[in-house]
Amino acid sequence: MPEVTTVKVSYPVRIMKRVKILVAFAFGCLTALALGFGVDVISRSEASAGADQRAFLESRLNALEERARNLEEITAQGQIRNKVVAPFEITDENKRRVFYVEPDSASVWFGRKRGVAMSGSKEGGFFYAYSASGNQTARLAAPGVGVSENFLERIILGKDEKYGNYALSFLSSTRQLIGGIGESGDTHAAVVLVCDKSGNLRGRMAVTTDGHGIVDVLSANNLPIAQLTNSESGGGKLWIGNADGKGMLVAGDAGGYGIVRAGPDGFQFIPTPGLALSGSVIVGKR
Amino acid sequence: MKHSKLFLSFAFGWMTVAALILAAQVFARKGEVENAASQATFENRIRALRQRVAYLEEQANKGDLTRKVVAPFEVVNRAGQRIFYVSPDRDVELWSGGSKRSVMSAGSGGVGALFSYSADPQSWASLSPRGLFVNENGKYRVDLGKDLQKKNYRLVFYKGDKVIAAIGQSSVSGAGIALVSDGSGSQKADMTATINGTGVVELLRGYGFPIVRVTEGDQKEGLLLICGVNGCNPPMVSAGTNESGVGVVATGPQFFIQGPTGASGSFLIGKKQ
Repeated sequence: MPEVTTVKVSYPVRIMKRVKILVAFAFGCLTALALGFGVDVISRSEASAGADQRAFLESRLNALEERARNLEEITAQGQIRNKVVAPFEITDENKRRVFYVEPDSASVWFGRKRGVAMSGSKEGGFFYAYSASGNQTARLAAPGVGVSENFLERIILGKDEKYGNYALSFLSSTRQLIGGIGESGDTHAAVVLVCDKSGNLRGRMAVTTDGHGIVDVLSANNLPIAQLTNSESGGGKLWIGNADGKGMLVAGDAGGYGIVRAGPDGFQFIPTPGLALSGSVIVGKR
Repeated sequence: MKHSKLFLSFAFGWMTVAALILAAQVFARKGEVENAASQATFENRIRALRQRVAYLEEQANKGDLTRKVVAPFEVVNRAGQRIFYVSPDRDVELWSGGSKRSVMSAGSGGVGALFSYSADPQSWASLSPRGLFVNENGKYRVDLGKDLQKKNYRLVFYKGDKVIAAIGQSSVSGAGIALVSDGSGSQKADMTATINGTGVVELLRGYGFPIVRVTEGDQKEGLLLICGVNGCNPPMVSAGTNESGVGVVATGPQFFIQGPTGASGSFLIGKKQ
């Protein structure tokens, strides 16, 4: 019989065999894990995206429900929020406009027309009141007030932007001045003017450029025909002219005594001591 | 035999992990079922929300949605800038470019007033039961309404703090008056009625210093008086009607004192018809 040869396996070789088995087990685990993990990662990624979207939808839905709840509460109270975006409109029960706010104005309506309006622009603020026919308008603005008819101003009280003076003016339907009072655009002193219906100045109470008062009556060709003003001595003077504006009578203070002269030749006054004066001049005595 | 142990180990490792993944998937399936339930809840909520909004829209179309606003109330443009504002203080304001331009107010103890502002906030006009005021650079320029004693209505034009022109009811006589002054406020002319009810047109060198006066005389006649620089008593020239009913033009101050020649040089007197 052949002799059995017993080969003794050394300790390091046994260890090596067990390590191989463990490595094979671990490799099996890793392979399964790798394949399964890949699927799991994909599914987890999809699940994560789904969760995010749900959270987003949830928050939006919550917000919408909150808004609807507020609106329902406000409706139940019959109130609206205290801030709205223009245009804003209030109507009557027949859907006719009563009040309307546009970007540059707010107005109260009657029928299909504005009754009154307030407006604003970079130039300033304005109030308007309209007649039922719509052809008459009253206006209040920072420079003053105005009344218009058929789109022409008939009364203006306030500042004349051209000259910077303030006055009350009445205008004809052809935009001619009929009457006025206020500050003169020329002298910036006061003036009262009365004109005929064609706009010709016929009466005036004013202050001259040298600071004296004057009241005069003017002819149709704008020439003074009667005038009250200062004499050269500082007293008063009456002057009456003819149609051409030539002086016919002057009466006034001559410096401590009165004098009346009828013209035109009566103005050639030559004192004659001891004799009576001619009939065209009378002179007072001191 | 040698390799079968390795295969068995490999397979055992594989199966262990596969079993674990399977268990995890069972749990994941449970989550999906829960998600499906959540989805159904979403749809229910959206359906409910649609119904609520539809109801509100229906109410809005009927005009029943809103009828009342609690101040403050504001209308803005799409940029969010204020256009219209109702304050709790009972002011209704119209704004433009970020500035207040027009105001309707009932806030001053219930007194209504309109205010219109220019681009310069120092210049504005106001209309109230007291009257109309136009203000420029913080100073009144026009005042239409009652005087400070709240008695008489008049229109006054100011320059600085001085009255330069006015028309209305006199605070002195209660009669009508129109007056003009120079730029410093010195009165130069007026047209009025006196306390006695006589009409007057006069030129002045300042308030209380007439230099010419056209009025009604004692005989209810027309009367012209021209004064000197020192006043009107006596006048330098008078023209009117005397007690006999004839016209007289007299020059002063010593009207009827005849000269040494007896000539009547200082007056003219008419004759009766």
